[in-house]
Amino acid sequence: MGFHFDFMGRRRQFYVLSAVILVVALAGFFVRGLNLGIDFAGGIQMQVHFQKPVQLAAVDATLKKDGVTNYFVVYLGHSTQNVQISMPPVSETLRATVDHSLSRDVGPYSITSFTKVTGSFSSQVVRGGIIAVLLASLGIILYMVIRFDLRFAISGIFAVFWDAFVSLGLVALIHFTVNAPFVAGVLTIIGYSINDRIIIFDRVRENLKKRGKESLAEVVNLSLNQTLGRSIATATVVVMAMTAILVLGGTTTQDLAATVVIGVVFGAYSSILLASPIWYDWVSRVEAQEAAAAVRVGRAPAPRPKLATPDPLAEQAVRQQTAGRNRPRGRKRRRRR
Amino acid sequence: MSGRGLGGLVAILVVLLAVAFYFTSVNPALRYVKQGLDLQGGVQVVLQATAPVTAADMQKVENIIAFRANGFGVSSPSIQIQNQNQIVAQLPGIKNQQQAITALGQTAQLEFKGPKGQPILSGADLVSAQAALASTGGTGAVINLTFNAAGTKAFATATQAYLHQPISIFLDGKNIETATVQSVISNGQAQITGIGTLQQAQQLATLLSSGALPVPLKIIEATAVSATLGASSIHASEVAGLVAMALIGLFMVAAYRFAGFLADMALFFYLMLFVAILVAVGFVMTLPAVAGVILSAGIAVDANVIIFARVREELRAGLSVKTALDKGFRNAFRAILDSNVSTIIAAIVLYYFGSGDVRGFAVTLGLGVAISFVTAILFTRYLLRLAEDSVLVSNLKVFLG
Repeated sequence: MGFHFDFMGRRRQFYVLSAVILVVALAGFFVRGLNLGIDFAGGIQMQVHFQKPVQLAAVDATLKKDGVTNYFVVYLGHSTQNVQISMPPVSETLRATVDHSLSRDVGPYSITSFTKVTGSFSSQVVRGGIIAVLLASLGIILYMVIRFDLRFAISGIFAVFWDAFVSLGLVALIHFTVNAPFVAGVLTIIGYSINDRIIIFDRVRENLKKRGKESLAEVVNLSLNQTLGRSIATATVVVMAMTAILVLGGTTTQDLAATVVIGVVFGAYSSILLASPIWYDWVSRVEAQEAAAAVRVGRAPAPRPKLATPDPLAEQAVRQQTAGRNRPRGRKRRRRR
Repeated sequence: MSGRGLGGLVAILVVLLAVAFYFTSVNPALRYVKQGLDLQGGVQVVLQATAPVTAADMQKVENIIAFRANGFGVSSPSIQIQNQNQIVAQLPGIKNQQQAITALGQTAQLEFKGPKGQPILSGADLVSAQAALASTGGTGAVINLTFNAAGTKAFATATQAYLHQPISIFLDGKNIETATVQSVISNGQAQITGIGTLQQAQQLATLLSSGALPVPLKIIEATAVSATLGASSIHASEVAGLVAMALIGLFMVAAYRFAGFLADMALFFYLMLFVAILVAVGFVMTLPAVAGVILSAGIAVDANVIIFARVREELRAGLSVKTALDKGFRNAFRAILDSNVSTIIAAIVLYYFGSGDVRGFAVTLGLGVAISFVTAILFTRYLLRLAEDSVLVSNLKVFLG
């Protein structure tokens, strides 16, 4: 095989890189902070279409005159007829007054979209989102413990949290506005990132079973190089699809799409350069301790611990599908390096 | 070499294209997909009780809000209780949006009025309204009303003043019942007679007894999307979807040649199956749900990428095409199963703990991954077998490698 990269040999450099990325992201999150949209921060957001082009200053003056505070007025897109007005959740009476004076003083308009969210509702959305993220992670850890083992699960989920924090931090740094769909975006990242880890760990598990005299580092390197093509292809496909939504899909799903694009890129990175090294360091330490213990009591090293269980379910399912087609050749075991 | 497989492939391609043509140009399938408020325009209001409430109270509140929503004359308003103390009202396609938001949040007004509109008493004075079948001699059903002390007094005075004249009952200013006073009623017990069926009587009784809101409501969230914005969102997501699919399709052909083309056919089949299921279950499509569809299409493609990468490896190791296909599929199966199951777990959790928009995304993501598990594995496998069986067999190595 042509391309072969020694991922494990350089893992310390990657640890440093991962730490630097995390620090930058955390700084973004805690110093700059997320740009919370109306769904999280609460308030009123109106998108209005004036029949004639208007000056923002005129809208501004009208709001001020009516006694609205902490409002925010911007043009929507390139037209000077479309204006977005954001303000705190004022009473229906005040809003009606604003409605009236806007059409009288600035010009006749129609409301294209209107959203009002109170603080209690937004904290409910946030709480629901956090609970969802934690429970989803828990469910996935359990699944990985059942299908793989605890070491794979912990290494995997550690890198998943890295992905989640890095994505949150970068979203804060870029500072685009996030609304309710952002929660779905963060969950998508977690799902994708787990997905990515499983594909690679599955290969590590498989190669461990066939392991001959190779070192653990060689096994992990082989697995990563074997899955590298797939990792790149899949990340490309998802990034392309989500970029299409980001650019063409309208404002509602932009924050979701942008979050997923960031998360997928860093998810691909951390599967290869963070989750696998962590797993490697953990397992190689365990193997070294076992070897040392064996030497102390003066006997040959114990047979390697079985790190992965065979998978009767999948084997059986495929066997059923392929029954009758590949019976003669399917049994033959080929050993490759 | 046989042409059997090739014939099969061509036949499937022709059928797929014909079905696609029918469902895009002749009888657009997307027309049958229900659209959420963000796509067709409309109003959504979340109302929350401002004091502790019981389930029975919320039931009353739901009835009142439903009554008001029906009053706007929109095609299919949806009213639901959420989190024990909230009501979500959705009014798709409503024209006068701001007025609707204000009206939904109002305190209900139940009034009894005299023949010339003189106010007699309000819903606050009504203790209960119960439907019953008419006693022997009468026809249809009746409603028994019970008033409190103040109401009893007011009603006694009114029935004396308006004996043999009609008294009307108004809910939110709308006349829901007019009955003629038969006798002076001083015990606070009145009966509305001559209502068609017991069911009608029950409906009316519910309205009457819920007339006075058991608890004040506050609007905690209101969203209005104009029909124009909805239409432009539909257009935007159609364009985004088409471009995303085209990019994925081209990428697959570039990366995996003929096998990539077969994967594209499977993706195509997947999309049609997906739309069919969404229509069949009456799923309400929203913008985040569109994102879920596109994301799960990416995951569907991932399955094929994993399979092809495996098959390629086996071919490089020198296996025959047929064995490489079988082995590649078998090796890829476990990884795809594990990754898909974990995504579905995330989707299920998202569905149960997310709200509105997020739920739609969870449904399309979870459902999409489940469907793709079938199409990307079984359908692609079938197509590859046909290809292997066809005259293309000698070239398959080249296509995959």
